[in-house]
Order: sequence, then C-alpha cells, then structure tokens
Amino acid sequence: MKQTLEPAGAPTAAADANNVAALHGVDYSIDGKPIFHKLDIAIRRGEVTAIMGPSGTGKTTLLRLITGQLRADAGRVVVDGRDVAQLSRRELYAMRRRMGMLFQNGALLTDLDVFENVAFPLREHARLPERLVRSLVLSKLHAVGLRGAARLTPQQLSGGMARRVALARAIVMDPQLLLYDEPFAGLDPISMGVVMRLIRSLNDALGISSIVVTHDVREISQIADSSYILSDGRVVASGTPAELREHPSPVVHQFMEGLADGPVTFHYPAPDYPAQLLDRSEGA
Amino acid sequence: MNGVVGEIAGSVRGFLERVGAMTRFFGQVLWNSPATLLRFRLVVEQVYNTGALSLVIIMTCGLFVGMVLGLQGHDLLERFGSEDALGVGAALSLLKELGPVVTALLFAGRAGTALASELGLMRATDQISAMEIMAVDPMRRVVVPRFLGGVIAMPLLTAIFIAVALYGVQLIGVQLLGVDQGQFWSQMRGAVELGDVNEGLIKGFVFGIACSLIAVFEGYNAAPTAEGVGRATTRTVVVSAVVTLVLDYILTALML
Amino acid sequence: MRQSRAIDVSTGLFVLLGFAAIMFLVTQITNREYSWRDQSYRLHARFENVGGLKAGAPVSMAGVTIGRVESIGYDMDLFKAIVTLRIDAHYDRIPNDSDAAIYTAGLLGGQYVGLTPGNSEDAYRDGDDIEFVQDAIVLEKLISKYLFSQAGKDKASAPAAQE
Repeated sequence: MKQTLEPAGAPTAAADANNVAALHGVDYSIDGKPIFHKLDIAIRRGEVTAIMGPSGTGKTTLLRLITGQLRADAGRVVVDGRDVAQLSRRELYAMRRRMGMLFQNGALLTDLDVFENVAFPLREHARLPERLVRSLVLSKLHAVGLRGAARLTPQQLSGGMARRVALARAIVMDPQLLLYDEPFAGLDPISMGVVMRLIRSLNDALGISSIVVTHDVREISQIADSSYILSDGRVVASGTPAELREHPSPVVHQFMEGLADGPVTFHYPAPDYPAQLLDRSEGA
Repeated sequence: MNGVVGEIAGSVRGFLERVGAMTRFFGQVLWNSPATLLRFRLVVEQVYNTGALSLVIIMTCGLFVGMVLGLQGHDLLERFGSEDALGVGAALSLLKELGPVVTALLFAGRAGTALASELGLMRATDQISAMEIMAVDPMRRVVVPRFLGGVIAMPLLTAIFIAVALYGVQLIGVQLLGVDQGQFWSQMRGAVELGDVNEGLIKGFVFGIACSLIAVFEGYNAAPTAEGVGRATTRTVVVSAVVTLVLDYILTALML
Repeated sequence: MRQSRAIDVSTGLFVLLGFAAIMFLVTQITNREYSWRDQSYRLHARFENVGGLKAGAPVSMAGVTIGRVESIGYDMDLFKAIVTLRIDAHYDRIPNDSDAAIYTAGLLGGQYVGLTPGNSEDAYRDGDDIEFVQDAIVLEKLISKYLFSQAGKDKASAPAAQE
C-alpha cells in the first residue's frame, strides 16, 4: 500500500494539477437544511481516496456534486482542472464519459442481461463493430471474474455478483475516475474481500483514480491511500488510514474504532430517565 | 375554519404546480421525440409493451361490452319496436363514445400502470441516475420510447376494441335474439359515416397522448421508494380516468 | 436477441391487427360514399325554394341514392337557388328531361333531391341544367293551403275551391 509523505490537507490552486478532482469551499443545502459547509477536499490522481463518516453526512451527495448532477450553492467543484458548474451540457456529458460510478445496489438495467448491461455504454456512445464490443465486454467481465455469467439476467444475480457486473460496466469505457457509493454495503465477507481486491487492483492496473464513499472502516483502511472523515458537513480529519487511527479527535476515534458511545451519543436526546419513569402524569 | 380554506388553497396550488410540471414535461417529451423515433427499435419494443400485451384484455372486454350492448340495446329498442336499429345504435355509440373511452380506461389500467411502475422502479433503483452518469439521456432512452409506444398503440387498440365489440353486439343481437341480420348491417351502413369513424380514432389518439403522458410523468417523477412507486401507479390510473373523461367532453363538444 | 425477434413479430401482428380493425370499421360499417369524388359529374337545378335541403343530402332515383348535393348557391339574376348535384358516373343514362324535386324523408326527416326519369333519348351530361324542378314543400304553405281549402268548403254558397 502506498504511503504518502504528507497528509492530504486543504487543496491549493497549484496542487490542483495533481488532483483529478477537488472541492473548494463548497456549500450545499437541501431545502434549507445545510449539508456541506465550506468543504475542501482533494482527490489525488492515481490514488484510492476514501470518504468516510457517519450515516447521513451526505456522502452520496458529494459524489453527485462531483458528477455534476447537483450544483453547489457556493464554492467550486473542479474535475480534471475544469469547474463543473461552468460546463455546457455537452461538455458535462463528455466529462461523465470519462467517469464511472458504482451504485450501492448496482443499478443494472433490469430489461437487459449481464452482457448487454456491460455493453450499454459502448452501444450508446460508440459505433463499434460487434466483435470489438464482444471482446471489450468479455474482457471487463473477466476482470471482475464474471465472464461465465454473461447471459444471466440481473434478477438471477446475487447482490455481490450484481455489484461486480456494475463494476465491469463502470470500467468498460476505460474511465479516468471511478466513484464507488457504499460498495461494501450488505455483502458477505467473501464478496467484500472480492470487491476490496478489485477496487485496489483496478486502480493500479488501469492507472486510474478512485473515490470510495463508505463507512466500512476496516475494509477501506486496507486499500485506501488517503481518507477523509466528514461529520456535520465538514472535514474533521484527513490523512492515511494509519494516521487516522492515531488521530487525537474523539469524533474520529469513535468512528474508526466503532465505539457505541462518544461524541455521537448512544442515547437520542431524552428527558431524565428516573424522572420520566416516576412521573406518571406525563404521557410517556 | 381557516384550516379548511388553507387546505383548499394548498391543494389548489399543488394542483397548479402539478399541471405546470406536466406541461413542461410534455414539452420535453415532444422535443426529444424526433430523435427518439430514429431509435425505432426502442419504440417498437414499447409498442409491444403497451399494445400487444394489452390485446387480451382489450379484446375480452370489447367482446363483453359488445355483448352487453347487444343485450341492453335490444331490450331498450324493443320497447319502441325498433330492434332493427340495434346495429346502427350500437355502432354509433361504440364509435363515438364507448370505444375510445373504455379503451382508454383499460389502457390506463393495464399499460399505464406498467409504464409508471417501470419508470418508478428505475428511479428507485438508481437506474435513471446511472444512465445520467453514463452520459445517456434517460428521456431519450426510456421515457420517450414509452410515450410514443403508447401513443401509437392506443388508436389501434381502440379500433380493435370497437371491431370486437361490434362482433359481440351482432353475436347477441342477431344470433341469439333474432334481430334481422340484413337490417342490422344495412341500417348501420346507411347511417354511419366516415366522419364517425374518424371521431372515434381521433379520440383514441388524443386519449392515448393523455394517458401515456400521465403514466410516464408519474413514473419518472415518483419518489424513489417502494411507496413512491405504488403511489405513482395509483395516481396514474386515477388521473388518467379523470382526464380522459374531461377530454371526452371537450372533444365531443368540439366535434359535434 | 431471440427475445427481440419474438417481440418484433408480436408487435407486427398487433399493428396489422389494428389496421385491419380500422379498415373493417371504415369499409364495412360506413356507407360507401368515399368513392364519390373519383368518378362523378355535375348537374345544376334552380329552385324557387329549397326548404331545408342541405349540402351533402342524397340525390336519389326510385329510392336509390345516385349522388349527393354538392353545394347550394343563390342566383342574383334569376332570384332562384342553384343546387349543384354530384351524380355518380355509374349512372350516365339519365334522360335529359327528367325532373328534380325536393322531398322529405319520413315525417320530419331530412330533405333530399329525387329525380324522376323523363322520356328523352338523350342523357344528361356534365354541367347540364335540369329544366323541370319542383320546389320543396314548405310546411307553412301547406298549412295555409289546407286552411284556405277548408274555409272554401265552409262557405255554403261558392263551390269554387280557393288556391
């Protein structure tokens, strides 16, 4: 696993050259509820970057900001040196063709079989001879170990297999940036191991960059080059997994160790317990 | 007191919002239609989805509507001694009203719900989002083909419904109840004009646009949850029924 | 790919069925008037009063529909209504001294033009005028005729019937 010499801090304009994507002072809110506040994140080229945090911190929203599906209220979202908000629709679509995204539930098109699902981006964007399409699709399926499942339908796949097919689909156009939304959620240990290995090996073999949004600390710590922990719409810590494990902040500590109680309390705010038990006049 | 007024105002505003959103959606669908027609394969699949798969229900209901019409019509006309007018009466009522309206309601129930739930499910399982990220326009790939499929299928289904229903009328009227076959058809031929057939087909076409639009709109904009999809499907049927009947009145008034 | 072939076939069948139904409706249950335009010829007739005759009303001989009223105009010189009749080319031997009258179908039905054949050896040609016409029977005139004739009968003295 690669060791970085200095922690990934707030990105500067000069450092942007090394970043495949970056957020500069991004604010975002939904229906008045603030999600992000002056968020600064840098995704370095060629690395696997993890975005972690408790549930509900808007990690998926972050991915949507990077793909341009959502627009930031303030600040800049820069991908490959260009401000996403400034792109025309065609440029935006061109940018998206250089990205691949893996959704939590695979998001395979239910009316196509595995082969057609993986071939989908090719058919939509390129006019390739059928033989070439076939070779490409089979090679990507081979990379994720599912070449034999090419003619199954999504309904026939297990969760782990569906996710791997979705991964094959995400890389079929040879993207430069791969986005993973909770890739380990709901998988058995074997599938988890498989996906973990694939994320890392694909990143290195294809020479791309990967952003993994997850809260599976143990898994991601084994493969990430740098990580960010978000809480309350801000970055509370960043660095390599090793650095984060030593991090002094109690929030980070609770998260990394998976402690039941800490800054994120176990008990939902409630009145004093003995008082509530004894006070029968109050409706429970 | 204020609460009721406030609620009514709120629902009026919500209704207007919906109408506005649907109009804008309709514009987008129309705008993307020419390009989608080039991908004819997708449209053909949806004509199959909405039309061919609805054939059984349309023909079955058509047959029974025709048979009931024959039965009731005969009983009614017998009171005035004009059973021979069964053919022309049934043909005109089927062509102008029963055919298009009943077909539209059945279409909304079978094909409309299918379209809404398919799109709603795609929305709920992130397939639409995945398409956007793969730089594929979901409108052109999944929404507009479904709309066009419905628009093409509806007039055809209407015609099939009316034809099968007429068979049902004559099955009961002529074969069972003894209306003179010659009179049945000749009176019909004497009084039914090409304009009446056009009326029915035009209504079928317009209802097809309305019901297909409502179905794809509800599905595409469904909340991405299981209840969201369910609600969208229910709303499709309800809104389609109401809009069909309202349009029926408007079209009838315009065409008479 | 097998699946899409089956879909194509089914869709094709469905569309064909739909068109067959439309054809059935158009041909089998309407009066086959849609071919009038192709081969037909025009005749003109001038009436003092066309009553309730409308364009599109049938023109018949011996009860058989042989054409349609194409248009009704007004001749400012003769102060008569000009009715243009479109006769199916199939009926090309109508004697050119046949007369045209406006009848009413049923008691209160629509009005139509009936042609009664004459004895001429020659037939009407496209653009001919019909010489002998009989106006529409207007209900009011009929009633006043009846009233007058009744009044005449009531007059015990004069046996002459009033017109």
